[in-house]
Amino acid sequence: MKKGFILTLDVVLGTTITLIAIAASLFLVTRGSATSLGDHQLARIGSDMILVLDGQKAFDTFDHEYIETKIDQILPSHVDMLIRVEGNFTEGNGTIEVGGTLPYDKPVISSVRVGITDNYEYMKFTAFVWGRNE
Amino acid sequence: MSKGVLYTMTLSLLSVALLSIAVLFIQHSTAAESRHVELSFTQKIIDIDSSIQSSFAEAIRLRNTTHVVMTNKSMTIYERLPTNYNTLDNILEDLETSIDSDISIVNVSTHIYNSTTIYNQTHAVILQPLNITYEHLSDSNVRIKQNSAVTGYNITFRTTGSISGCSQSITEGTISFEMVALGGGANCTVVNPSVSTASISFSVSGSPVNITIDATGQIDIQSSATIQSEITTYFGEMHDIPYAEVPILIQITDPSFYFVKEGYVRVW
Repeated sequence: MKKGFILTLDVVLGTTITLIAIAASLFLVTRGSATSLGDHQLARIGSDMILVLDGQKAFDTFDHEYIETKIDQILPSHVDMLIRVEGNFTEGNGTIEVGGTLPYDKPVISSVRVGITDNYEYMKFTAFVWGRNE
Repeated sequence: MSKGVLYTMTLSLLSVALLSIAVLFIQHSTAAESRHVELSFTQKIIDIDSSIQSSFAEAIRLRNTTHVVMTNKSMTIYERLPTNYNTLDNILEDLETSIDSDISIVNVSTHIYNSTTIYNQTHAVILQPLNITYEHLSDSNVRIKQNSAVTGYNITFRTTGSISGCSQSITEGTISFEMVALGGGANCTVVNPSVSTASISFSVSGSPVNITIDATGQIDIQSSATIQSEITTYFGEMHDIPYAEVPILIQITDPSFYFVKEGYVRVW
């Protein structure tokens, strides 16, 4: 076999392996940075939404439609969410859910907070947030 | 050296360099993933801790008969004596039970705040960062514990009852002291720019009211009469922003992150 052929084979093989390693690395870097920050942002949105709505005493009413209207007023357009409120209240046997339907094909990020109504009723809030289709 | 060997060596070096960069990328990616997990964990803890604190603070502010106003030189506590904490204690205990059963990493203890026998911080308000403690020894007895930062007291009592038998016994010292009791008829007034110890007493419609400052600067107020009290504690000017907390302990423990957080509830 000629030297030139072996050299070319060596170069092709080496370059291929290196490119595969770099491509894999770049994929991991992209996933590690972009996705994580996006997930964190969704968690923050969920937490902030509960905080604002609780501050406005929206949950004190236990009124599904009123809470939904409040959510629509302040929810950023690029995300959708579902808020679950649990407690010892009588409405919905102690559990009410307001917002969109949980998707099965997208990552959903959840946040948990607690609160009380002006009548001292305990509530546990869980916000599920996911990206909306563009 | 032949051209072929030179090419091979150059390409080998280039490959090694590129592979090194690839390894660095992978390490960076792993580190970023770890930071994301830590960031999410931190956010979760902040959400839980701040919302539990807010819930207790809201219950106390809504139901409590005690109100606190602070500046960087003074703390004023308004309340009606004798106090009645029964309803608030029940609300706080219910909240504690619900949170403890709902959130596994959290343990809330209201027993320090509610206790009337075990601890010395019953229904206390603690001004931080100076750690000046205003506590209720009983419904009719409040105390501001000895604290070297305290420079004086100003006390105002208001009552619709008639005040009588105003007496005082004072020794000179370094604590500024003013006390005014405003009744339906007569008043009882003590103004002294510097006391070391003091003992003041009067009656409101026959029920005794006693104020005592001991040699350490600790003040005790006892009133079985119904009065509105306004007790201002002065201290050296603070550069930190003052805040008041109550001794309801919130513990958050997560063994997977070797994380433990303990703190009282910040109310005002």
